[in-house]
Amino acid sequence: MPIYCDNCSNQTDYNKRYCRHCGAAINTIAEKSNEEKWISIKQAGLFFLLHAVACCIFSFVDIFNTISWKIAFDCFLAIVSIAFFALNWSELKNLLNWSCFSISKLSAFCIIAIVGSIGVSLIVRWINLELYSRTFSYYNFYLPHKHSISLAIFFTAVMPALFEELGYRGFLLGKLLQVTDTKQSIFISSFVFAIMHRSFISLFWLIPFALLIARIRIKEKTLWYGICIHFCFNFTATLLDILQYQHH
Amino acid sequence: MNANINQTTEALFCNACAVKVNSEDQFCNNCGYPLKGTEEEQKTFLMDKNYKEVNLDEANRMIRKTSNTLYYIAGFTLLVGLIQYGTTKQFDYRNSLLIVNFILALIYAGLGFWCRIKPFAAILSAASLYVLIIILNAISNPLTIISGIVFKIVVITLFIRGIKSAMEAEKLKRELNIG
Repeated sequence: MPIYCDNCSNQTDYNKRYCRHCGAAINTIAEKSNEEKWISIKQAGLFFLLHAVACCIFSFVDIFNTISWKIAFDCFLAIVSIAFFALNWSELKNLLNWSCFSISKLSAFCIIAIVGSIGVSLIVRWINLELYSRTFSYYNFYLPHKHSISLAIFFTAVMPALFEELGYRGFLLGKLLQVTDTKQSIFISSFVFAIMHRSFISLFWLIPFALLIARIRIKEKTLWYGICIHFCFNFTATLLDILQYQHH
Repeated sequence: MNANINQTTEALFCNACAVKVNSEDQFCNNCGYPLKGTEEEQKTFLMDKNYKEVNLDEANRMIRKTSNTLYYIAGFTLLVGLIQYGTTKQFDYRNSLLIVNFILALIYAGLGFWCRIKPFAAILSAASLYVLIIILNAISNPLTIISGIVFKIVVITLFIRGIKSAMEAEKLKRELNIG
């Protein structure tokens, strides 16, 4: 396919790297210098550290193991995500558009998420029974509260879906895309997202889950599909948790 | 006549990257070599290319070093897991400790292997996992920060240099049009 060189305006070849008339590099996207890339990495690193410290403190210091602290930590994580997203607003704002909205695509994604969630819940339950001879329930945590069901749904389905997507698929993936190619960015953001959940058994399904959402986010150029998938996945898991509790 | 034929056959392949070029081209469209440039221009181009190749070798050496470090960490993690398994009394707890350390070692080894193919993603992922584990241990027992602090600092420094080398290698590969 012939194109014209930006430098000398002679006809040249599209699939080649240099113009054969003037030697200028062709088709190079304006690339950032390594210093600018390093700043991006440091910013992403700070985001990671804030999330990591907050998550670890919440799950390992016993005095924070109450509903009010859980709400405080979730709000902190949400604020960090929003702050980092807002700092890079000009680069990331397009992600909040939903220009090619498609009902069929959305429902297909949601059905995959729900089926996946049921499958994963059953497998996790089986693994926990085999390894620890008991089941774990996030719902137990909200049980003493009088609005336990709505609290559980809000804090395990709505909040993570919105703010984890904003933070990991929005900010983190966006920053990494400035530094390296698409495939590596998708992998790194998914890996960080998965290890942040601090459960080694769940790595096996969290990484594919995150890879899928990141791929959709790159392909559709919007965060909303990811938010819906994440919501459906967590919502189904929470419902199963509640149903299982009420059954016993 | 003879000289003319020689010139056309010479011009058919690029001097710098040995790719086929057209006789009327001013520059090689694969590497940017000035085919019709002065001797000095050609010399400068080749020197620049050589310089970049040396830098790429240097970056690749650093990446291999980081990859080996990841293998060592994997082995070390497995060793710690086995020691903890041997010294812990509670049956439930020591099993899950062994499983966690085994999975961790597996991840480090996998990332170490992958480091040879996609160094940037592998090193950055490994570094974030390593830092997360340090934070986890530090919060459940603050004394663990001090234990092996020199080792930790050395490893993190290696990771940082590895990430920078991986970035450098990616950039040089793109400039040299390889990979």
